[in-house]
Amino acid sequence: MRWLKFLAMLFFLQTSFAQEAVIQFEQANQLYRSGDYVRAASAYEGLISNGYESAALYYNLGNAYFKMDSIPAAILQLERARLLSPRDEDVQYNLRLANLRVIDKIEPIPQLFFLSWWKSFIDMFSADGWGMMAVVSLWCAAAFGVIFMLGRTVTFQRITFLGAVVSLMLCALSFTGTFQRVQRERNVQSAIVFSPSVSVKSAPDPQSTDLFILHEGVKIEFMDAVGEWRKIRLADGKVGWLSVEDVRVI
Amino acid sequence: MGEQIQLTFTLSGSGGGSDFRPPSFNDFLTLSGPNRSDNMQIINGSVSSSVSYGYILQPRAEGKFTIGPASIKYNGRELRSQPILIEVTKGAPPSKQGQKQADNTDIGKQIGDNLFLKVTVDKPRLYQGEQLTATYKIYTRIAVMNYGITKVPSLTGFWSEDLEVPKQLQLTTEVVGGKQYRVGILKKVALFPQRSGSLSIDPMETECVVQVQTKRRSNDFFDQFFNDPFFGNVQQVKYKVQSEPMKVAVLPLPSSGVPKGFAGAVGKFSMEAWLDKRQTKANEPVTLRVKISGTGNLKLLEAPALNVPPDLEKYDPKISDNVTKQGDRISGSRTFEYLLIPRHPGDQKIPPFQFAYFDIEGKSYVSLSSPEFLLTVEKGTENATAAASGISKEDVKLLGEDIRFIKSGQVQLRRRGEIFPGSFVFYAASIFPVVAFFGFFFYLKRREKVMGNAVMLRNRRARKVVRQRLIEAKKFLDGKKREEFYAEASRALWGYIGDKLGIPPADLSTEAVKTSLDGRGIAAETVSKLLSTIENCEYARFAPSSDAGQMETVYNEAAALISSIEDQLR
Repeated sequence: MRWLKFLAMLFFLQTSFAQEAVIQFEQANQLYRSGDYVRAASAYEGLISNGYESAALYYNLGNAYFKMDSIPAAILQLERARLLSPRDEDVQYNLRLANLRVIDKIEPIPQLFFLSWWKSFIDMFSADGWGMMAVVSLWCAAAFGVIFMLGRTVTFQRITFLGAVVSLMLCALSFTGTFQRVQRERNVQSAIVFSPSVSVKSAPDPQSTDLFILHEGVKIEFMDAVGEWRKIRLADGKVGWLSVEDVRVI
Repeated sequence: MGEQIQLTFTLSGSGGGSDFRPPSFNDFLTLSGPNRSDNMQIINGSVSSSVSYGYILQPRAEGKFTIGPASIKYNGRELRSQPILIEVTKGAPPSKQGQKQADNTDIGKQIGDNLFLKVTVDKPRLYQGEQLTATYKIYTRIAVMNYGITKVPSLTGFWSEDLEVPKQLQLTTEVVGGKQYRVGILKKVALFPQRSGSLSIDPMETECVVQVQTKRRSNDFFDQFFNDPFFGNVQQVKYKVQSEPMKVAVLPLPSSGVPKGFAGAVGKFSMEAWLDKRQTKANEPVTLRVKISGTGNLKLLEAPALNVPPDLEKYDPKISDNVTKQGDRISGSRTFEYLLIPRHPGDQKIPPFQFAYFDIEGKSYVSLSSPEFLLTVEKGTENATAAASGISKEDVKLLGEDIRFIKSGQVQLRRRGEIFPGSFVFYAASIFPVVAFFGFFFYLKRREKVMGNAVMLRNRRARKVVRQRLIEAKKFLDGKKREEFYAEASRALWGYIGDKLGIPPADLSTEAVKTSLDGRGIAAETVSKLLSTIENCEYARFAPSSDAGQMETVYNEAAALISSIEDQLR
């Protein structure tokens, strides 16, 4: 009984912390509304450094940075928001506006249609949503299986067998979705250029030739790492090396 | 008459004229021309130029002639030169000319080696690009009244720069071959060989007017007397002299150890480089000056390759020279002025650049390196987005719009990394149904095994047992033991059904058998027949009045029923 009490207390503590965070979040929003973007941004940053995250938090922080005219920071936060909720229209719209302020215009190479379909399918639910679905469908499959085994008549067995198979398939799909989303959120391989302008080199060596130049706010993708150097790829397929100091991971 | 006139039309002003129309020179022979020469000057960025057209003319006849005006179009206007009046008078009589011609051999003999031109160089062997000073000297022991250079050496293979010589011929004395000569320097050139190998220094030709004594061809005594050199009957004649061509050996520069940034500079140089400011704003230009000073082929120096970051817009350098030719050495400085315009804010690094030259004294390459420059570029006053290109119309419309407002209200904040799929609950909830399912599955399997063994055994042995019992019953039938027969038949039927349907003997009842058989899909007729037969047996067992014929019927019915049930249950 004692440990149960302890658990309940822990739970209560947790919720009270979360309650406090929500209040802080509202205070930051109030600062934003009054036009004090600098203090609003630092309040949001404080929440993040306390270990909280949410798509709305990143989104609001990105907006504050946008209002402060520091575009790369705005893009970084909006990209983080998009990672957590890819289908949020507000996030997409503001990200598009922020990207217009970036000097480099990069034309993304079109993805294969089934890859983009798959990606938008995975984007349909959050990691939590996929996880919940996976668990529920697994329970359903197990329940159908048990009923199938207990069944006496043929038609009853047929129905339960079909139910079990369908829920097993749904379960496999939602587990795949879960792991894809978790993978994407956990090992982020994208970053935003923060240096006002940086020369992308042909090799991980400052003496190597300059391939092209990037300006702040451009989104890049990591491919490889050598010490402080990262092999990067742009949305248009250009590849080069730059120092990790010039970028910040989403 | 017989002399040459040099005529030059000059147009000065910025930009060139077009459609130059010379006057007609009908009264003159055109010996040369038009010789166009352009002269361009750039002072503080403004260009001024002059164009001149030169002619060399010789009159055809005596008299007064007018050279008409020449015209040229300049900035849309037509400009005309003034007409020139020329008077051609009678010159030396042609007959005398002929005589002079005849005397030339005589004069040549008389002049002999008393007048010659010589070219000297300061070194016979040198490196490509090294300075060579060639001096054209005139050596004379006779009176030279006047001289003019008629053929300027073309000096192919060299880049040449005239060195200053006094306008007035300054004579020194020099002894050549035991004879004393008066020597004057006509021309001094600094030469920079452009290629290696044996290069020749072209001869120079001058026409000198010299005083020679003429011998009168007469036997007159007085003439004889006055032919004495003391009473020198002197005559001025034109005489052409030419220097001997000269060869110099030009060594190629060593091919090994050529440093980066070497572009043919030979001599001794130093390099200075400086930025006019270290801090600027975007789109505001800065100037990088590189000054190379020293001795050597300064005018052939190429701008050092400046490798600026692509964000700096670099323009071709402006070159200004400050060259002195004193002391026979070309020295001074050449300044390259690079205009750099940073387009975006940020720290820009201008990497060091190299300038290399071949040191003549040390006979080795020397590489000079500039320092690295750091340029801090702040945000310019202009909007940075103005520089961005490739924005579609739709995007331009969007640029003016504001971002969407922040989210508030019902917001779920969670601890970073605390997501459901990674939590204990998730794992537990996904493992539990699998474990539960398989647990139930194995439980069912085991129970079936335990239960199934007994039931199956009874089922399989049902026929054997019933046949055994029927044989037993037949014995009783044959022995007319009525009571035993019925007991045995009833037991056989009950036992068979109990075994076949898996019903324990204690639970056997007509009701249980009926529902069980109905559930197994046995025909209702068979079931009712079976039940009535069992009832008959029970009844007849205890009823006294019964005959052998009835016993026979019951036995056959029981056998038929068993085979019928056996068929239907299969």
